[in-house]
Formats: sequence, C-alpha cells, structure tokens
Amino acid sequence: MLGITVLSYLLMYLAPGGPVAALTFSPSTTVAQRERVAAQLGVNDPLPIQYLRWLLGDDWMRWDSNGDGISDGSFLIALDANADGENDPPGNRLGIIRGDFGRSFFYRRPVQDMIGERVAATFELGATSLFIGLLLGVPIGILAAVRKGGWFDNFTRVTSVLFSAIPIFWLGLILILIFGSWLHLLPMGSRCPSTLSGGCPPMWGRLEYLLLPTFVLAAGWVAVLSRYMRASMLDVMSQDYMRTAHSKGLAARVVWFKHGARNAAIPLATFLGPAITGLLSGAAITETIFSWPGLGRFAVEAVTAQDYPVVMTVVIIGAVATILGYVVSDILYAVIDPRIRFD
Amino acid sequence: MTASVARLQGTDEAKKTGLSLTTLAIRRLRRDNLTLFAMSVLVILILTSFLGAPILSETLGVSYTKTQADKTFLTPGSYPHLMGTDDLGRDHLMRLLYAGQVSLSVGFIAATLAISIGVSLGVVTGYYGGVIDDIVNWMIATLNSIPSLFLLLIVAAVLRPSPVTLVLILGFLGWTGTTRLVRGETLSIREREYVISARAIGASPLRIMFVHIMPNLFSVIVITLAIDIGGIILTEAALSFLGLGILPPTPSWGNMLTDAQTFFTKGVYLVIAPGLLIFITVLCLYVVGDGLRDAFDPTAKD
Repeated sequence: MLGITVLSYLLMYLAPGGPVAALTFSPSTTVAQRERVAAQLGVNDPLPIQYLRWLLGDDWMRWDSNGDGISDGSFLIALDANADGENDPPGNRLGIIRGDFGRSFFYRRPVQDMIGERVAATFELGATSLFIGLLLGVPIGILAAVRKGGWFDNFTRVTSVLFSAIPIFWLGLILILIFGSWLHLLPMGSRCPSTLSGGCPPMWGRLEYLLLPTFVLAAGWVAVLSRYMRASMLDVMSQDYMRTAHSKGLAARVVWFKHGARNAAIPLATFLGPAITGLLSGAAITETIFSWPGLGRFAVEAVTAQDYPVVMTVVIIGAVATILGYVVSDILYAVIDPRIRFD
Repeated sequence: MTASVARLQGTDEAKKTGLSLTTLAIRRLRRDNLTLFAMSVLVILILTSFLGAPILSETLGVSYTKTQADKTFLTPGSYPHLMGTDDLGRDHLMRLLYAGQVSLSVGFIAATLAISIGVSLGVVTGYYGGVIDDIVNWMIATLNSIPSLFLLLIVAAVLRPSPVTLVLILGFLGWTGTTRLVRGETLSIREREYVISARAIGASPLRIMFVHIMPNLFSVIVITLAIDIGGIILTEAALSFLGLGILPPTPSWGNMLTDAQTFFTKGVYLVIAPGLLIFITVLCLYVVGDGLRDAFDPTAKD
C-alpha cells in the first residue's frame, strides 16, 4: 500500500505541467508571482517532504499556536518559504491519510467532494454487471462441465473465446449504433434522462440507461466466469465423493448441483480481488463510451486535463478497493471452506 | 501440476517413438485445422499490411495521408477508394493497412519485450529465491493492485508516448503474469534430478538456467507469447481509443475508432472495419495460443 502511494506520487512528480503551471496559467502573471505561488505550494521543497505533505498533511509541519494566522513554529520546512520577510500562514493540508486529497486543478474544488457521486455511479454499474456475470456465468460453466463435449459446451466455449477477443469499446460502439442510432430503442449513453430539475430517478426507473453498459461489462464476466467454473466443476466431478453420491442412487441433478456445484464454487471466492481491478479498468472504457459519470471516466478526463490530484485520488481509491477485495476474498475463502484455516 | 510433471518426465509416446516433445507438437499441430487456419489468417493480415500496403498504394494511386476535401465519406466499393474514404477524404483501406502495421508491430514487439522481462525475472527468482524473489514479488503485488488500465493511462499521460515509448510502456508493465508462471515452473524444474546432477558436476548457475531450465520453458513461452500479443493489441487499441496511445495523425486501429465515433451516422463502415480487424487478429492469436497449448500438452493422445 505504501508502495502504491510512493509509486503514484513519483509518477505525478515526473509529470509535465504541474500545479504551478495549472494555477498560474495566465500570461499576466509575472515570474516573481509564479515563484511566490511555487514557494507557497511547497513545490521547491525536497521530494520526500513533498511526499510527506501529500500523505500526512502539513499542519504539523508549520503551525500557528496563538491563532493570529501567522505561523510561529515549524518542523522540516521553513517558516518563511516564500522569502518575503514574513512568516507564512500555517499548513492547512490534512494529507490523504486523513481524507484530504487536495484540490482539483481543473474544477478548483476539493477532490473528496467530487469523488463520492462518481464512486456511487461506478459501483452501480460494476456491481450490476458482476452480479449478472455471476448469475449467468456460474450456471453456464456448470452445465458445460456436466455435458462436457456436448453442443452446449462447445457453443459456450466458442462464445467465451469470441467475447474475450472482442475489444469492449468496439462492442459498446456497435451496440450504441444498433440500439441507439438505428433502432432508437435505447438511449445512446449517460446515466439519467436529462431533466430540468436535474434529479436522477432510482435505478429501476432508468433501467434502459443501465442495459447497454451493463451488457458490455457483464459479457466479459460471463466469458471468464463460465470458463473458470467449467474447469473447477470438471475437477470436482472426478472426485471420489461424486462417485459415491452417484452410486448411492441419487438423481444426477441432485449430485451435480448439491454435491458438485457447491464445491466447485469455492475457488470463486478468490475471484473478488482481481475482479475489482478488472472492473475498474473495464469501467474506464465503458464509462467513456456511454458517458457514464463514474470513476473511470473521471480518471480518463483528469489524465487528459493533467489534473493530477484527481488522478492520484482515483488510483489510491482503486488500490484500496483492490486490497479490500483481496482481504474479503481470503476471509470468504475461509468461511466457505472449513478445510482452510489460517494459522 | 500433473501436466508439468508429465512433460518433464517425457510422455509414453515420446518414450516409445524417441521423438522430442517439440517434434511431436509440430506433428500434432499439422493436423489441427482450426489452428492452421488461424495462423494463415494472421500471416495474410501481416503480409497485406506490410507488403500489400505500399503495392496497393502504388497501383491504385491512393494514399493514407492525402486529404481530399471534395471526397469525404465515399462509401466502400468505389474506385479507386475500395473501402471508401474517411471524414478528411483519406483512403480508408490504406489507413486500415497502415494502422495494421502500427498495431501489429506494437503488439508483437511489446509482447516480446514483456515476455523477455517476464521469463528472465521468473527464471532468476525461481532459481535463486530469497531476497530477489521477495523484491520481485513485492513489485508484482504493487503493480497488480492498481487497475492495469489506470496505471497505463497515467504512464501514457505522463510520457505522452510516441509509438516507441508506448511499446516500452506496454512491455515494462506487462510482465507480471509471465513472471509468476515461469517462476512456478522454474521452482518445480529446479528440483528435478538432472538439474541437481548438473549442479553436482559443477555447472554454473547461468549454464543451468540457460541449458537445463530454459528449454523446458519453451512451450510455456510460446503459448504465453501468442496470448500476450493478443492482449497487448487489445490494450493498445483501448489506450489509443481513449486518446492516450498512438496519437493521430499516425493511424492505429484504436485511434481510427475515436474519429469514427464522431461520424456514426455518416460512415458506419468507419466504425465497423477497424474494430473487426482488431477482433479477427486477437481471435486468431487466442486460437493459435489454445492450439499450441493442446499441441504441447504431453498428456494428449494422438
């Protein structure tokens, strides 16, 4: 986790543009003004200090103990960084550890205020498509394994290869073309119908907006999950307890779904961690095509606009989500399968 | 696991015929019509985009860069613009072919780079273990916990890539899967009797890695290469589509779609053709990868 923060900070540090350029992008600013801004932002400080400021904030680096707005004590950085003869105002950054992700260069608003609604939008899309992926992928995988070599198996295998080779942004475009442009059945993008009041109806009131992006994202999941489930199920079917169950004279359906599928589904628990990274990557493309106001599209826009605080926030959120996913996976794994115990 | 043990010990068939696994694999591959078909489609695609493009450009007298204000959105089937023209009146077929050169080279070179890094790191970490292993594993864990496309987006935005830097970026960020795979294989090969005996007669670690371990990884490498090229072509297309990969005016299948998206209703073929080419290429590569896996599978019976 620390590694990710260091890595993403380094990348941003190397990036062209930067905060000073973004805040003073006006021909009327003089060189002296630029330098004052730079000093106040602390971009002239050594890299490790800048990193610490971003991670932990700078209110403990330069503080104001008597409340007159002028700092009277400092640690690691100079009291008078802009060298105008007066002590600078105290540090006001809290650092990402305490939820202060800085201000967007582009929107001039704190990033944490803008990120919430976008996380919700991405969650809505991601959770729906993952749910549909599981709902379809798992049974398809089981059926394909049960009837191994049959027409259903061959059909789903071919389809799953087709769907993993198709570029999802192209699939999205083609779907928009067919359903939005030619048939006028479904909206061509966005999350909500545009209304004057600006409100957004609950999810079930705008399913038609959800349909295409969810299909594009879920198609990939169905392909991956059904292949995974098929392999896992084939593995389970050769186990002794399956043969025992069959020989007890149980109906084949009962054996497959009660004895087989339950055991075959266990490895799915490990799927959640990687699934989250995959979802976020897929979301970046899908959201861009369908103008879905989510995290992925936000990141793409921020990268294009060189809005680094936003980019870093999205990366950190993605990484936290992924790590949470892995942790939950491990816990689920132990809960589902009593044979696994962490020592 | 069973597969790798069987491969290392040689199959019954290999023992019976005395042929190497590679010879057997090639023999099996010759009978696999689907894989052969996919291979030939790939070869045709490569030949037409690299050799066919300049020849066609000469004979038809069309160019992929020349803009013609009076001939925009010509539909396919017109002469000499066989596939029509785009929004600026450039010949669409030529652009598709030249974009193919870019997309295919990026895919092949970046995948080769990624595989080279992946295999060397995998063999070294698998063979030595210890601190190197820990460091590399930490790097893999860090890289894997950032959604890969986000990471690529950032790096691409920071470096504003030319095709060459794009290849480097894709190569240097795409090795983690291969490393894990190769590391696992190396761990099991390392404990084989012939490696132990090589060490006993004083072979240097470098010799053991190159002469005793690498040849056993051949099938893994070839299979991963085919699939990785496909994956990288898809990634490159996605990046270019988002405006951060190959930048116009250099055509690539991905960035051709960005332009085409704007002209949905005027030129449907502009949307369909580049995506279809990506799809066919990647599909063929996956089929070839799958076919190679079956061909190299030592448990397969003829």
